Amino acid sequence: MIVIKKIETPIVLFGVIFTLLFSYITYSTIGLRHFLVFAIGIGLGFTLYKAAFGFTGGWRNFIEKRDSSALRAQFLMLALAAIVFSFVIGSKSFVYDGTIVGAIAPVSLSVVIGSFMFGLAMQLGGGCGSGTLFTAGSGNTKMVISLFFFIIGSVAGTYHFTFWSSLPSLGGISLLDNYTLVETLTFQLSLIFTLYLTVFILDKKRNKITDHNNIFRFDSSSLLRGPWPLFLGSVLLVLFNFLMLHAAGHPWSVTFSFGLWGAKLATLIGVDVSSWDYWQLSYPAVALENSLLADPTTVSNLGIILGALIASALSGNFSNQIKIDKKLFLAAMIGGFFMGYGARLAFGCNIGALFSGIASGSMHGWVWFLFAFMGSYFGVKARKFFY
Amino acid sequence: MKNILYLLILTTFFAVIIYDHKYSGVAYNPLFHKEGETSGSINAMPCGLGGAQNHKH
Repeated sequence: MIVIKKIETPIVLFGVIFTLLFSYITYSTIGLRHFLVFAIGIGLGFTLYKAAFGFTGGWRNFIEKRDSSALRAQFLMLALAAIVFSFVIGSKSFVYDGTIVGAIAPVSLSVVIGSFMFGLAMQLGGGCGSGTLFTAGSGNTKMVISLFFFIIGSVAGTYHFTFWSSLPSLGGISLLDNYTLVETLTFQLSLIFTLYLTVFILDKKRNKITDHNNIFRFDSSSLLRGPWPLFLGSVLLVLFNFLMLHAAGHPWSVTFSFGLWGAKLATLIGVDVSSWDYWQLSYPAVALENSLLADPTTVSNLGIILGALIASALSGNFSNQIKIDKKLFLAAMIGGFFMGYGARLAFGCNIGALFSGIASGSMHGWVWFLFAFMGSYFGVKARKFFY
Repeated sequence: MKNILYLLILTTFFAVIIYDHKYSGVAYNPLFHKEGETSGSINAMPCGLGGAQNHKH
């Protein structure tokens, strides 16, 4: 059993105070839906931390040791999300009077290059889109460095956006728009099941595992303070993404806001980002003029940071004791920058493109997964120079 | 001490966001797009554009 550490009360209080403050600001000055998006973000951050639901480490464990635990949990999450989303997309939200839309993006060369770049970089940076946020929230100094360069890379990606968008593209391919619900689900679930079985068999062969139980097992009796099984993480992330669909009208995404934060920062130091093509597009142009808190992705990301901070302090594990040497700093810098740049090319990260994309029946999600995994393979090799 | 420094960095980040909120204001609320302003799931929200194709205003 896991030993439960003492609660870090001052840090819990810090998190709660800012949670209440942002709840008040979002609800009173923007609206109920922004408040709900923030609350969902808190839940996402809490869940990501408690279940240690990371894509980077999970993929690395499989590449290096054929440990398939995290990958299997991710496949279960994708299967569950694909089923739920198929019935919800295109229907009316129960929060507001509007239709729910999916995360559909083009299947293009820029997605291939961007996702490969992202997969490689996330192994160097030590975290993916969601991973960088929740580990930075839980006190990991290295991930704050990664996040800073993630933001810079995102802005750089927006600068070159027109070039990357001009590369060959098949356009957006939505399975739900082109096939029936049954056909879409049959394709998606068959593919996910095949992948699940493949990684399980490879794990079984190498590590002699006999069952699937390790992702379902509770190692602690305390839900609030102990770690959660990966499977619980999978189910809750699908639940929160489902709620995000209804509150925001679109699925959970992470990295748009990083570009926005960077663009605001660049504007502050005198760079005229508003003249760049990307920031003249419909929504990015408005988002740049608007308050950051008006951007739903920013609001959910703030929630993730605070949710992870509270969860880590409740577990007594809020920590920034990692010693950062030059190599580690360089890894965080390179990894962060190219995750940001790659995410702009690939229309999102492991959340916006992989999780929400596949769940929405967008083929770009599958392309993203394939090339990001290939990139991660090389990232794991490159990681040895830094760690 | 290190924790205090870390929390100070986070506080600065949150303070900048709150300052930006007061300074920039909310000229357009992206979550208030009306029914009929979305044009089907093919034009749905890709993360990279933050819903650019999804919000006409």
